[in-house]
Amino acid sequence: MPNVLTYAEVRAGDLRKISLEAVSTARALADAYGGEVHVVLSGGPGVGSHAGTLGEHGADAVFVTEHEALAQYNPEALSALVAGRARNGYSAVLVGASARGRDLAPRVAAKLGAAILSDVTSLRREGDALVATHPVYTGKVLATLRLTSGDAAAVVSLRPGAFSATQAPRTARVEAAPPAGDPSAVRVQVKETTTADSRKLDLAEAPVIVSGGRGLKAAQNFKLVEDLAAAFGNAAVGATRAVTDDGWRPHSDQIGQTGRQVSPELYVAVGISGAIQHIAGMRASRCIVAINKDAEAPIFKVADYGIVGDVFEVVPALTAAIRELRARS
Amino acid sequence: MTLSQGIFALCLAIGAAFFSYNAQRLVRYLRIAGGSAGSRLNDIPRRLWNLLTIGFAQTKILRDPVAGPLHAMVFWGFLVLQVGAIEILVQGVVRGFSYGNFVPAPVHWVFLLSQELTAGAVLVAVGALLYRRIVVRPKRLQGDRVHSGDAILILAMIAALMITLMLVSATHRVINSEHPVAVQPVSSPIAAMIMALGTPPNVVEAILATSWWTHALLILVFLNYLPYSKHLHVIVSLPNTFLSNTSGPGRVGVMPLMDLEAETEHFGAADVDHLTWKNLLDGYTCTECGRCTSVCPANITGKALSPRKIVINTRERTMELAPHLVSGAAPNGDLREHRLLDQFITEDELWACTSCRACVYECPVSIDQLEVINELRRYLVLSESRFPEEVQPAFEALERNGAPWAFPPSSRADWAAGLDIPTMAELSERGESPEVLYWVGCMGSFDERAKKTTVAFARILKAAGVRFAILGQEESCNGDPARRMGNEYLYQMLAKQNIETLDRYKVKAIITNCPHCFHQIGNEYESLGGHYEVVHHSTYIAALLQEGRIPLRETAGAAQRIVYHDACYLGRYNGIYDAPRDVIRQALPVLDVVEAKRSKDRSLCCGAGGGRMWMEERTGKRINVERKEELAATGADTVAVACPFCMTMLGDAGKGTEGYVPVVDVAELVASRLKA
Repeated sequence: MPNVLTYAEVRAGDLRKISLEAVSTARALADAYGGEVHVVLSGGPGVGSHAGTLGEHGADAVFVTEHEALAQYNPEALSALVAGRARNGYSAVLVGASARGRDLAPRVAAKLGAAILSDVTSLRREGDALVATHPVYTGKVLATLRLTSGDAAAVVSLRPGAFSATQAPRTARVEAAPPAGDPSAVRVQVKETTTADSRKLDLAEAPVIVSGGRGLKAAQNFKLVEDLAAAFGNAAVGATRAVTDDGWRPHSDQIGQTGRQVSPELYVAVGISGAIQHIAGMRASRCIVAINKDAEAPIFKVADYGIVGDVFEVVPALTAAIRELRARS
Repeated sequence: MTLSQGIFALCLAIGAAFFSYNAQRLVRYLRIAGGSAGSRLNDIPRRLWNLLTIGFAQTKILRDPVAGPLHAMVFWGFLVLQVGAIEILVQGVVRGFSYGNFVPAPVHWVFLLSQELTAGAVLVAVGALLYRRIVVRPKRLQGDRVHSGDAILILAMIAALMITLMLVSATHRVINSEHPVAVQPVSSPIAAMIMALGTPPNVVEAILATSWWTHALLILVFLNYLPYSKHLHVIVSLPNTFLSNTSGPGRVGVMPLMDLEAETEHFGAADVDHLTWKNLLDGYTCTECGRCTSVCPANITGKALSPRKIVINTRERTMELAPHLVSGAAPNGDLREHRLLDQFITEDELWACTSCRACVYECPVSIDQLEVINELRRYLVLSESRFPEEVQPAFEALERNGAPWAFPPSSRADWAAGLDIPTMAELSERGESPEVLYWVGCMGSFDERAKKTTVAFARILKAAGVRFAILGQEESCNGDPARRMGNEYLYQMLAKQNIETLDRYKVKAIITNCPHCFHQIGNEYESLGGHYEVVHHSTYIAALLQEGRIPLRETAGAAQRIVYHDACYLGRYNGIYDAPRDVIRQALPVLDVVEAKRSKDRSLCCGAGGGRMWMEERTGKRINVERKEELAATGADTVAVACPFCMTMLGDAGKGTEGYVPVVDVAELVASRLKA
């Protein structure tokens, strides 16, 4: 069973980046086995147009299933479809560990009676075994998982961003595949999908978070934080409990022990003194930059970089500098 | 025997029988409670002392400067008038019965005077109480669907008893004025008035007979009305005070240990039959005075919780469920589902509690409102896994990291870097043992602000030459947050682990600057087999200063106004009020220590207790803001605390606003004046 199967995730008509990461990872694995990369591409009518992009990243065959009832995430129909395809003999089924993939992967594994490796950050073949890395304890420990070959294909979910999407152009065979059963005759019907604010990056996913505290003095001054986040281009806006309690920001923006617990690449704390409740929610960030006028503020103890100064002077200057840098690159 | 004697004897018998029936019924209801209240007859001297002070001397009642003396008057009056009531009841059966027949006249006169003065005073007090209820209507007598009509009825009955009693004496006096005027100061003017009006003798006789019958029958009616009203209080308050543990015996404020191995269908309590008989007796005892609710920080700041409602609900549900359970018939599903938890007391009420103990402390009849709240919380968490979602990370961190925040245990002693403080492990390797163990606590280990207090205390200890050590990464959360949030399972895991660690190093003496660690390790570990001498840093520093062991700089420094905020687990839980104030006075010679409106045993919680530190406060005014405003209103330059949680709550309140008052720990005040 040298072939590797992947699932291409399409959301709101767009092929998600994780799908290309999965195809590239499948390509590397299939090369190690000397097999092909097959992709399940399903969605509403027209979804097949993404087959070309998948081919550019190394897919040999794309099985396209178009159906109105597959336009939105349909866990029952989709898991039946992927599992059905997987029964044709594959060494592994790769799925992105996105919100959808985290739901789909165990369903497929259960249907196949197969082993599952969840949320892995590396994957390679070692003889007959699959070897993967899985971070535990919020990344403090990396567990190495070794899966010896079984009868069924191993299901693996890949952490988004951990694998790179690389070009390996070829022309993929495109085959239309029927859905498994009637996708509209399922028990769970998705009636509607609502997004909080399409312009806003989700705090959990954003690589950069700019957070504001009571040092901003008033709700309208949060504009400084929003501007800085906008300058980064890929930043979300967070806030402390004090700020959300005072109603300057919605409670969903709160970062801390009792709010969202985040670990972005870069965390910029603006006018935040660093109460333990807040620190507990962001200390796992890769790099922490603190801006506060009080040099004694506890936030500086956890910060990698600290700027002691007036946020009303420092932040606009920083925003301008980042805008300039981004304009140049 | 005359006809009237016969009729009265019958009334008396019926009254006694009916009362006895009700007494037995109410005692049977108590037996539905399945929880264990422990022994309530241990340490009799302590219990008698509580009865004498809180009960007879009305010490808690008198904390209210207006209603207190009025109630005490009525209560003491009742005691004195009991003697007269017995005489009257006997008179009904034995014509002409009088104590005067058995004692010399002067002794009888003392008795008469006592009855006269008391009746007059009670009448005045009842009048004032009626005025208060009907006209003044104080806030604490409103809300929680209290039975205000019931209160007015009972006050009216008492007034009627007093008036008829005086009329009996007065008419007696008209017919046969055998006693000096001086021993009947109330009834003699009435008698004089009756005579001045020229009332015919047969009318006087009629007034006497009517007053006597009204009075005697009212006594019986009153007695039998009590079991059907909140005024059951009159009968059970003294026994309840005797049987209560809220002022000792034993260590106060200690949550009962739960048997996690017990074969039971429920952990904690969802209904009254899961509680203890003492909790149900508390329900009988409550007369809805609302002192508890008026001091509750959650209630004051607009949350759903009202400790009085918790007790009223307990009684209401007992009265609803118990008749079915004692009749032996299995209650139907609807009745079962109409349980105490959810149907009477909601989750929101329970999670609003800061466990500050103000309600328990204030109760004049030693009711334990907090115990019911804690048991219901235990049920929510252990039996139904229902708790505010933001608590989950705290539970998880406690389980994995041994701290309520997910900090690695290896960084626990980071604050001590470069301070040359040995760990127990290091000392024991060298075969040494310290004078005391300094238990740092999670706040002191991980919170950057609290770490400054930790360092300050460590500097004081070093300056005083105290040989101390820390546990470093072997220390774990004491378990208080888990226990107060109802997660007894997690609590016992943490506590047992700590006891093992402490016992391994044969630790006996512990000092700590966290009142929660202090209370847990010193008071609550006992039931798990951990016996330690734990001293709070305020007490320890006060003693070191007293002994002159802390070298302080001579410079007096600038005059400061400092207000000290009492921590609940130091004050109401452990009675430590003076030590922190002593430390402040001794550490800073030129200062003015002022008191907030609510201080010492009346102190308002900072809002962090009972696990509230790890919950959101979405309703009403924030407790820490309320408290900070009160502290700032004293005009103090600085707020002093002796608890890291108070520090973070009060430090946070009002931050960034004009006129912000900084918060410091008492140890920091002392450390700031250390020589070199």
